Amino acid sequence: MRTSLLAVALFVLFFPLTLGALRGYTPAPGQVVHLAAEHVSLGFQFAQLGDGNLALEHTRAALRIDPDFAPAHFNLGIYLQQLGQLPAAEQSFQEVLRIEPTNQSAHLNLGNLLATQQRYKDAAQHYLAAPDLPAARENLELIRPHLPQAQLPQAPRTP
Amino acid sequence: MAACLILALSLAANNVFPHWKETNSCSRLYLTLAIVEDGSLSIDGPLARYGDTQDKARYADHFYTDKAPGYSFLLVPLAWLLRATWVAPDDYNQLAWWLRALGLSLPSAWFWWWSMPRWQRLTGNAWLAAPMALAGALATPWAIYSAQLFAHVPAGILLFVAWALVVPCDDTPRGSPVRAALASGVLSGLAFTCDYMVFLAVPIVLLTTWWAYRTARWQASALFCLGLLLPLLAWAAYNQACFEHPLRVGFQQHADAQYGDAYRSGWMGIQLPSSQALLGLLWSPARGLFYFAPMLLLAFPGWLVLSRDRATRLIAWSSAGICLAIYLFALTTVDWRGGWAFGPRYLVPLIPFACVGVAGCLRAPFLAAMRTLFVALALVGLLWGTLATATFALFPTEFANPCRSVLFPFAFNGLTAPNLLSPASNSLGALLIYLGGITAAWFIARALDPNQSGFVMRLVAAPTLAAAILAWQCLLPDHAVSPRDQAILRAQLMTRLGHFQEASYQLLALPEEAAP
Repeated sequence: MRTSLLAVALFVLFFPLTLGALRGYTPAPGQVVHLAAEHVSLGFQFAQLGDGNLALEHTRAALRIDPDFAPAHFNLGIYLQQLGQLPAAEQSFQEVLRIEPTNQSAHLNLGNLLATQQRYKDAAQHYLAAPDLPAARENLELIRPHLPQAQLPQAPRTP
Repeated sequence: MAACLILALSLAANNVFPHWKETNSCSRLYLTLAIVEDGSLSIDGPLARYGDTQDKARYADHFYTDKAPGYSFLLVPLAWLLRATWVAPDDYNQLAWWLRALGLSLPSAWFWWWSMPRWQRLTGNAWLAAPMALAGALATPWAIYSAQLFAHVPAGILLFVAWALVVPCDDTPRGSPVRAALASGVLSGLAFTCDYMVFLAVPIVLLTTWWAYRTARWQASALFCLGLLLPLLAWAAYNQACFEHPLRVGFQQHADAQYGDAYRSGWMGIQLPSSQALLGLLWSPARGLFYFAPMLLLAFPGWLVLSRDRATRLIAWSSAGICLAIYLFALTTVDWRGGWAFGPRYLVPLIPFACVGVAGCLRAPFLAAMRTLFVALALVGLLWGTLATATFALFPTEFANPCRSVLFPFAFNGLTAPNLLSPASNSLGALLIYLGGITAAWFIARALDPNQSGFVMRLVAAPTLAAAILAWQCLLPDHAVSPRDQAILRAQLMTRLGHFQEASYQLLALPEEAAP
């Protein structure tokens, strides 16, 4: 009998204790819900699936929410480059570098974009600004024959 | 039959997320892969080959897992065998699936099958052994973690087997302590190296050993300590090799700035218990043990029943003590919520010990009063586990009532998890999981016993009571973050599940406001 009463008492306690715990609950500190980041992430997934329109739509939505969100500008630059809209892509990478001047991936991609337009001197400057990326060093070597030697210092080597 | 059902549902719960690597499992698996593929303790190689992950330790310009390393080491032979046979090199997802199936779900199903004679002895009723095993395996958060490489389930298995080796489930006299106490020590040590949550529980097993062996207390305790020493020495050697000190552990070197600073505070990363965790770990709709597995409430009267009987007093005291030890230690963690999780994941190792109490509650003459309550509460836990398995099991901490905000909306809208049966996120696999859940519910309802009088009334009362509890649970509000943020998080979960179109509708429907 006592056991049954204890079981019933615990069961009855379930409701107020749950309400008390619910009232005092807070999310883990440091968690940030970022709509622009979600748009960029979903846009990337659509790009992976080959749906360029939805990729662009979500990335542009991210920029409407946060015009200074560098990852959105970066991804937009990639998608536009893939669609052949090179001036717009160049502008997107320039926006990334305005917000994050030391973003080496943006320098590399902008360098590649400029190299495809045979603007080798500008491309070389961007490759040189990405010394930690092996691809930047390799691409710099590829365009080196198109550059007057006097204008270009040696690419720095990382150990 | 019960073991097959547990295994089938655990295997079905091995969801496949091609667009998402869960970071906790990933970090453990990277250590296994580093050992198998590179012959190294550093996870630099897997990070370069399979991609970055948030949970990692950085020390002397190398990356290591930030987790307790034991389970990663236990998986090494299996991973080596899989790599040497049918899993293609560099196929992370396939290897992860097979390791979860063979290295976690299968041992979990074996464990509950192995434990059935104990439930029979504790309840004194052969009819109840299968429902008890099914309820423990599937109507608690154990179900979810027997398909996630989080190491809480392996630690629970190891600790319970270690405990069961030294604790008689009846009044059978103890034989020679040599083998049992030594093996119990080894298993307890292994449990600690898999999951630090059992840190305070291991001394309780030692105390239990001392108590159980009345005629050879010191000998048995010494052998337990000797056994314990073996895995602890191996663990210390690992720490020495990675972090240049036997007691310097991975989480103290966490590479993530936010977590790293938190883990480096306190004593060995142990914090002062938070008042929110005291209630939250047991009762909150976000992470409460009794919210997700209300059946375990019956452990309290059950321990009372068992402690009255001289033959089962030690069982009651030690199993309750182990539960308390794990709960107290979980209060001291950096984040008691456990990040993205289903229920209180730090408390998962205590579930079999709490089931001991539940079994005590089902002993005669209390069974008549308790069986309806047991079935009703088990059905609630089973429903949450089944819904989480079929949809998305690991909830962000921003949801204060994820059952209301995630599970029901996802289940009703067909937002199911891709798994081996339905890799393209269609609902075939989910349908089979629901059917499996119904079968398990029927098995648990066996506890109502059709041979006893009043069966029909109990058959109506148990689901009615379960439905009433579920309705009340779903009515509880979710206030931790705004509805807009909840919608963003739901879209994030849909992306993880591969339901991109639904995530797209959800996000594009939201007003485009700048983040505050």
